[in-house]
Amino acid sequence: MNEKFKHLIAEALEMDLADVNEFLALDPEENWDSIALLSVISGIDTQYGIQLNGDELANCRKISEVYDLINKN
Amino acid sequence: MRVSILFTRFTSTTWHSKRYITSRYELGRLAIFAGVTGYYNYCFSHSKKLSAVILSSKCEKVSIDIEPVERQLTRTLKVKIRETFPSLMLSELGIIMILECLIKVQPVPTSFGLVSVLFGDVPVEIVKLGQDNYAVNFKDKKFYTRIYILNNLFICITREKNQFPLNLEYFNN
Repeated sequence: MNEKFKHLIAEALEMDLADVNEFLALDPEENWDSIALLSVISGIDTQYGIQLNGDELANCRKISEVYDLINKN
Repeated sequence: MRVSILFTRFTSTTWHSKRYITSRYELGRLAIFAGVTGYYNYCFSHSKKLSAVILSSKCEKVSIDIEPVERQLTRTLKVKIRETFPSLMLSELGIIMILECLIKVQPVPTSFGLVSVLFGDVPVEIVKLGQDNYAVNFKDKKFYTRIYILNNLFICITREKNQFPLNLEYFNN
């Protein structure tokens, strides 16, 4: 998990960069709502040139799963 | 039209369980409070520990979305929204809320409707009608939206008729 990805997640989830790690949980009732999803999708589209599937992304429950999605694409 | 804002009583965290159950429990109580009997349509919006529900008669679709006024969007998301809605005189957060309300009241036939709309794959037209009042055109359907500010929340309501109260009623649960 590289720094570019961590920065993207920290901004999208409105959290400190220091708190972003591969075990970070994505909870629909806390930090993983529709705007967070859109923020991650638009960030990955801009920075990686990849348009992730929204449903697949919504089903992620750890940040490492989002990172895996990028690598799969 | 009655809109009730309430604080949920749980401390969150499991996926789609406590929030779902608590919301439906509160819905029943709200329907009684609002004097609604028989069949009715309803729509929920959740924002962390806050929930809102809107009720209507069974004859009309309505939807609601709530967001804290301090909610920040990323730069890349703002850019993406402006690419799709370049000339609309409305904040990017307001546009997102209108689109969220749209896909609740009129589901978009794609796997994740909000993304499709945001990326311009599903054309949606938003027209400013007046202060905080918008028309939303999607295919052959037309809806109307008004955005309120109440208790540090933006509250976006969409319905089939362009009739909105000047102010919203609310109570703390």
